[in-house]
Amino acid sequence: MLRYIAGRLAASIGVLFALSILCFLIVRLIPGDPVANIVDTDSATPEQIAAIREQLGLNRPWPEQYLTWLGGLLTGNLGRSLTMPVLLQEQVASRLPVTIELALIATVIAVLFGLTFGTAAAFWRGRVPDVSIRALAFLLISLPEFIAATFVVVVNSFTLRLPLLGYQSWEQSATGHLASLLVPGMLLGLGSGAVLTRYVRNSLLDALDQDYIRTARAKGASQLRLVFGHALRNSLIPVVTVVGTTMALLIGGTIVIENVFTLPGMGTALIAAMNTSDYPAIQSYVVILGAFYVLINLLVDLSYPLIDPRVRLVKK
Amino acid sequence: MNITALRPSRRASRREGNWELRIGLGLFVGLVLFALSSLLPGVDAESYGPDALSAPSAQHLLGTDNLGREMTARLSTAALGGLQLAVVATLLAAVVGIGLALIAGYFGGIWDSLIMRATDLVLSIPGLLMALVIKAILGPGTVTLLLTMTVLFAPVLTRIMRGPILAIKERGFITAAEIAGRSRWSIAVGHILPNVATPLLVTMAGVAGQTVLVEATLSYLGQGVQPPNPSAGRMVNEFQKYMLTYPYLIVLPSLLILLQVVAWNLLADGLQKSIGSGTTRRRNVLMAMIALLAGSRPGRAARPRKSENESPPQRPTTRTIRTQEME
Repeated sequence: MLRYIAGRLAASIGVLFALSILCFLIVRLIPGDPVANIVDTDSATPEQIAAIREQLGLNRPWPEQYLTWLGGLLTGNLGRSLTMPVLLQEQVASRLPVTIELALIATVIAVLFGLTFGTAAAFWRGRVPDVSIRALAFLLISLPEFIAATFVVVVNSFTLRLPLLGYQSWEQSATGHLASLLVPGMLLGLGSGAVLTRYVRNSLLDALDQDYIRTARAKGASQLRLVFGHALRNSLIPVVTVVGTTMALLIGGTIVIENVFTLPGMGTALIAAMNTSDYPAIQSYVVILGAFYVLINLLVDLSYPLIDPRVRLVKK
Repeated sequence: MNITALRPSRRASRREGNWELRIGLGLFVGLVLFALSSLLPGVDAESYGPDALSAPSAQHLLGTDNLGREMTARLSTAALGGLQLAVVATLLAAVVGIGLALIAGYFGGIWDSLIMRATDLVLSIPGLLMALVIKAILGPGTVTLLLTMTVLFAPVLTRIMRGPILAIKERGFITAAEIAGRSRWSIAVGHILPNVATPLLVTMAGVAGQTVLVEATLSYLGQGVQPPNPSAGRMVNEFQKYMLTYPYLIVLPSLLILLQVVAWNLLADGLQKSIGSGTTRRRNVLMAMIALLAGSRPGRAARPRKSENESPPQRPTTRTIRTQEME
């Protein structure tokens, strides 16, 4: 058990280390002079170029640069944006909560969606509800988030005309804030919900094939009782892991959804930084989003032995 | 002989016919024809016309965009680009992925753990972040996109293909070939590779669908295909400005992306249904792939399953008896 926890911790730290190296190398691996991507090197004064080099940390040896940058990350000192007069840590402090809220709403939606439809599909296996749920899940898996979101925005603008495209901060109005995140969060959760639906259905069907279900059926238990009383709980173990892993889809998804709805989260900031070659910002945002994801995965891994006692028994 | 009356097994669904493969192939052929129509003489995706934003008519089959360019030409060129990218990127990822899987699975030893650790590492970084990092380094372009897809999907192929390779490795004819003195590389390519062609093809079709998704998403965010090359993802972004006045403009590229992904995914599901053997048919490769892309590591969900299977002696269930009879 201790070895399991230690192993998972070590793996997470390894991934974080690799991620930080990768982000650190972004500026260093750019072919040619990265400064040329930011200012016109012909018209800029040597002082300006030197200042940008200084800010990118290109004028010191690599290991020193890396340690300085890593130290800044750990102490919450991310430095300045190249293109905007802001401190990156202030940007992150205001934007990360929006992204996390979106991800949380999406997770709740995905779990509700997946459990409801997955169970329904398995319950009516092979019949109309099953076939239509499977078709819906297949469609949602094949549909990029930005298309689903754009579609909803277009349809809404012709029918209900709900104010979907305005962000309100928590301070402005608590209900307005939640309302402005609700639809993006729901859209974000649909894709993961579809993946979960397929998992729940397959897992439940596997559980329904077990001998104890046949015994219960022989004793006269109804289908309702078989599914909800016996099979569902046992089928949820693999599903729990998937809930954690679909968070990766969500990390990618938040970047997209935030850009569709122009929400002030990490995703819009990251894409804006990409478009202006704001390398310090790109590095910080990628590391923080990645770390957020690694952390969630670690939590899922650590919760796994609590849910499934068999993991505790496995040696090595 | 059926011992007990069970509900129809999933095998029964086979008798319904392989509609996934049929629809998938139909869509695919349609897409290829549409894409090839962009190569016809007179089809020009770049030339600006006098009628901007005109509705679909006899003169402009699917209308024109904001610069008066023919939407038919724009879309078919984008479809061709999408297909080319999907095929080339998938082949690249497959070559790298299956190569690594052969080394890891067949050669084994230190290479196995090294390669598997490396795939773990790549897969534990969210794909879109990885794609953005690569774009930040290399700048936009086709080479960047191809490299991105290889980095994202080669580990997926390695992970999925390692299992089947390990299974084939234990078979008698491999030992025979080894005794006959064939070199390890020639066994790997000549004997093992043909025997894992089925899961490989299925996975490749699935990967192709994912490359379309990733490309469309990156292009939508302005980080993928660059103008003037038409890309469906980019069109969705550009036409958002006109969505209230010309909503059909945004529907067309969206539909193109959706149809491409659906075609590839249906091909993957259908291929698996038609040529998959017993074990591969039950394990949906598409889902396994999405789980891998979502960063799941096999050490996690697979572990309790494994201990379940290991408990000897396993009593054959009615299902297994019946399946054995059928085969």
